Amino acid sequence: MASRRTLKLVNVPRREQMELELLLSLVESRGGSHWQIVTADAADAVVVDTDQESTDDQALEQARATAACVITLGSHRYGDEELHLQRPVRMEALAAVLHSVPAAGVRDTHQPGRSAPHVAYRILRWPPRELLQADWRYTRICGALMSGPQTPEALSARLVIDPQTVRDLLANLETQGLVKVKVTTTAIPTQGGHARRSSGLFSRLRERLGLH
Amino acid sequence: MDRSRKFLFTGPPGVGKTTAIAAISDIEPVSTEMAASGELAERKETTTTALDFGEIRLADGEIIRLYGTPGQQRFEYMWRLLMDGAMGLIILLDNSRPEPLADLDMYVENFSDLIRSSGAAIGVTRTDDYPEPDISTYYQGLSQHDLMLPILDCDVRSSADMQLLMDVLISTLESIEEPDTA
Repeated sequence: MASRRTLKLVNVPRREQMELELLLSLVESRGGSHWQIVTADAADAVVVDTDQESTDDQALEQARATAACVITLGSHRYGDEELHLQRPVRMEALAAVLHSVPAAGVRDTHQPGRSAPHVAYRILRWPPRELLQADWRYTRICGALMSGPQTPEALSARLVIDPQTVRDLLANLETQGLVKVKVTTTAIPTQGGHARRSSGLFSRLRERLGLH
Repeated sequence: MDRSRKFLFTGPPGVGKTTAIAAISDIEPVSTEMAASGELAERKETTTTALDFGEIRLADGEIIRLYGTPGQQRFEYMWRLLMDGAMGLIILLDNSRPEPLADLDMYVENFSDLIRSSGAAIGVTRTDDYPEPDISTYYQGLSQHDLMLPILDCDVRSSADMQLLMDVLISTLESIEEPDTA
């Protein structure tokens, strides 16, 4: 059974609160802890929106006093908080941050070497032809996923494709239900044989066909 | 030593295997044809009863052969011969046929050894005029065989569509292993 944790939101707009609730349920459905948004004074962690004018040093101090762990949300870090979320909040990033929140009763302390959770993707169905034809890299990424679940970082390294392109595609596929996300605390071995662009027969075949 | 390698194209009669090969072949495809009979005569004038043959010639002289299998199941013995040594398979399905999902089942079952040892991609044709079954339904059909393969709608007359289908197949094969070059 997933552990139950509490999360407080400070100065987060109502609409984003609802989005965060949805993301929290997705994190739990993929094996993460159960996080409940509370309005009580005390919580395991508090998310402070640093983009809001009302968030100042005092608000941050109050947040630190009410929760074991502070997570800043916004376009810039505020103070020396180590846990930070950028907008738009993605499930993968939220899962990683929440996993780093110390266990109940333990105040936030820096834990160098603590391993972050790994978010791996498994392909369920290929995207439509129109999406694949929009960017040749999408075919590579989907092809690589055929060998098994992989993290965005592993895909990026294996295919030599920038991480943001990989993440953007996976996020797109996730919203369409074409990939399945798994949050795991153990590293997933890199799938497939090579960590660089194909340079053999298939590369020459692509070249002859006028493909990238 | 013969350094050629091969890909297979299969699918029901009239789906466009010859046209698909022609879209990416460096040579005019060689087809063995004879007059169609029965129901096939209503669909097209000729049908391939032996096989189609095309080639992709790489810069270093290596040749990739493209074989289109006879469509009718009575040529199953030839399918088994052609499967030997093939690097990958493209299955073309025709959405205008009465039971395209049954076609999927038949080709997946008969080419199962090649699909599981190598890889395959599926192209579904004529979806513009015959939108059902949709691609999701094909994936459901595929799951009955405990398989997940790329399935795309395509037009066999389009070089871009055939190139994409080949790219999809190659990308899938790469995830397993890249063949050594002699």
